[in-house]
Amino acid sequence: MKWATNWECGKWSAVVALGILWMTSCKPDEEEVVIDTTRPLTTEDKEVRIGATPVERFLPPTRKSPSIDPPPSADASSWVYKLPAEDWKVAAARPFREVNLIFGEGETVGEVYLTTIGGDLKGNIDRWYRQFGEEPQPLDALSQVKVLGQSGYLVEAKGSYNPGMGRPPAEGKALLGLVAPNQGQLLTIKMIGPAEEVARRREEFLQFVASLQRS
Amino acid sequence: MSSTEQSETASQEARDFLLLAKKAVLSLGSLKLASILLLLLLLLTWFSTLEQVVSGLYPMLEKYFSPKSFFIFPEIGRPFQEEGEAFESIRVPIPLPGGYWVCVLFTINLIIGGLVRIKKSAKKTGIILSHFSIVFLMISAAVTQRFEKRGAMVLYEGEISNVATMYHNQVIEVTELENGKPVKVHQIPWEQLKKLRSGKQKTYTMVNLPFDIRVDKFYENATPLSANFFPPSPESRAEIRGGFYLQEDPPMESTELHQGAAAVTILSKDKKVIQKELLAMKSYYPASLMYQGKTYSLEIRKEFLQVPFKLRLDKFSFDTDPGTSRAAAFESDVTRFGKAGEERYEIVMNQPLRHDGWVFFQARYSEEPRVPGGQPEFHTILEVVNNPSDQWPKYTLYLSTVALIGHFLVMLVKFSIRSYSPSKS
Repeated sequence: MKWATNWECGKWSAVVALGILWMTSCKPDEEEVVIDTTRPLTTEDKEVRIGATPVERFLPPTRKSPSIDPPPSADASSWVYKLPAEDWKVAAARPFREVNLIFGEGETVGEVYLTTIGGDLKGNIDRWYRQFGEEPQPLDALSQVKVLGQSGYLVEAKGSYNPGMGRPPAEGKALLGLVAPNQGQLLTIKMIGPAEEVARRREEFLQFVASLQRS
Repeated sequence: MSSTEQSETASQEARDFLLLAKKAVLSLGSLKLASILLLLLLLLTWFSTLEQVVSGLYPMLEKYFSPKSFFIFPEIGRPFQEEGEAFESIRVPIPLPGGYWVCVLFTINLIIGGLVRIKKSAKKTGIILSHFSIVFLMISAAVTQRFEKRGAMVLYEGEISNVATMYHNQVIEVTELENGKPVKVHQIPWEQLKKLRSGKQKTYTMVNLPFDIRVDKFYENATPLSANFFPPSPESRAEIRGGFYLQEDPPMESTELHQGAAAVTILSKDKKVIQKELLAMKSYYPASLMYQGKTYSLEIRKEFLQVPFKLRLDKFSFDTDPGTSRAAAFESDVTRFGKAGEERYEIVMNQPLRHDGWVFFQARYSEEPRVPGGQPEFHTILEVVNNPSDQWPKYTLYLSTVALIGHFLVMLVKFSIRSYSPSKS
């Protein structure tokens, strides 16, 4: 009788133990996890190089490395293109610009640069218009141009250019830009310079866009 | 059944239960159990040492002595393997209990043995003290297992640091930047990342950032390769991002050499894709993101172990064995910057710097450039250990030595008195 009672007791203890074990081991894997972890800054948190291209990030630095030499030209990027005019030149690399070019000289100097960024297409186009103090246009009012096999929107604006981030506004400027979705991101190409120069070089810009390929 | 009979049965059952409990407690503190546990610890130590050669130190410790291991099957290297040959492991078909739980049981056994079985008298003081010093030693091992943190501090001459890099924990960090300078660092901790080692994908809602992060793939050891130079095999299903893809590298025997990598997608709060990136420890610069007018850098790295004071390496010197390039002696002359001012120390092999629960051992040295593309420079690598029980084993040793010497002296004196007492002669 006593043996039977012990057996009953043991049996139920085993069932409870197994149940607890099952409940703790089979915790469902959360689909989404909330993260609020931060850590204090250390002496290792130094100024970082931003806008490095995948080639610069993953391949050993060459003698053109910014850490030992002056900033390299942006031709170290993973893009292939044709310069459409003689006075288009490759400029020094700048953060986030995967291709960085300049054209003209003196008062006629302007720049053309390519970036890949996140965010939504319309939001970026609207921001470009606002930088020139213009009202955003609906997408179907914009011309479309092919780049890398994808259709992109051509944005044209002129007036007082306010680049933001504390930089002063510049009068008499114009933008000729292209935004196209590409590999889950947005490919943006901008030509910014004196309004007359940008208008004169419209065809050169379109030739440059047409020649663009990933290396 | 009458109420008297019922109460008699109940009291009998209570007595039986107490007897059973007493027996259980006594067997938990028995010498027989202690012998079995010591034998198991001997076997675990022997097999784990053999397995360490095959799988490396850290995976072996995880397998044999983690609280998650209840039972293990040892795997040892095939005997008489030739030097340089890849280790071929043999699974030993003997299940062994996990070392952590054997140690827990052994500690309980020692405590019960000391409390219940040892006779308490003044003349047994030495034995009781040395017995409980072993209990204390086991507790210090548990504290070490739970709280010890280790990392490596790399210092070039003239450099000041307050941080070591942990050997195993990998984290993904998102740093908020202002004019290129870090202002705040957000972290996906190792406790989360290690769950993805099986190839899972996970979205992390970053409460303090305007975007979220989805880790599409995490590798504990991987290399970013150029798809142009090393096209991935079709069966690898590697995703190419910006002309590169991640190739998983085989696990290494020294897992502290693992260099992790991850494919991540930055998502807006409404889960739209903002940017896709590859992060790798084998990279020269972090990935960057510009979002809503702010700049961020993203990288995967070994977790930082922050030291509550700064060290500056004033001079590093080493001597080699004659005619070889093998280092025979190292020395790092450092200055510690604390609240009380500056203090100078010499850290040499077997003579670490100890301060406020932190220990700095001279571990090794290297010759690498300070910055990518720079000239190679000799620098020191200090092993940094933070362990609240760092000195406990030493105190245990002192206590048991004093207790046993005292006990043996008492016994000697008693024996001498008995041997030379007039009644004997």
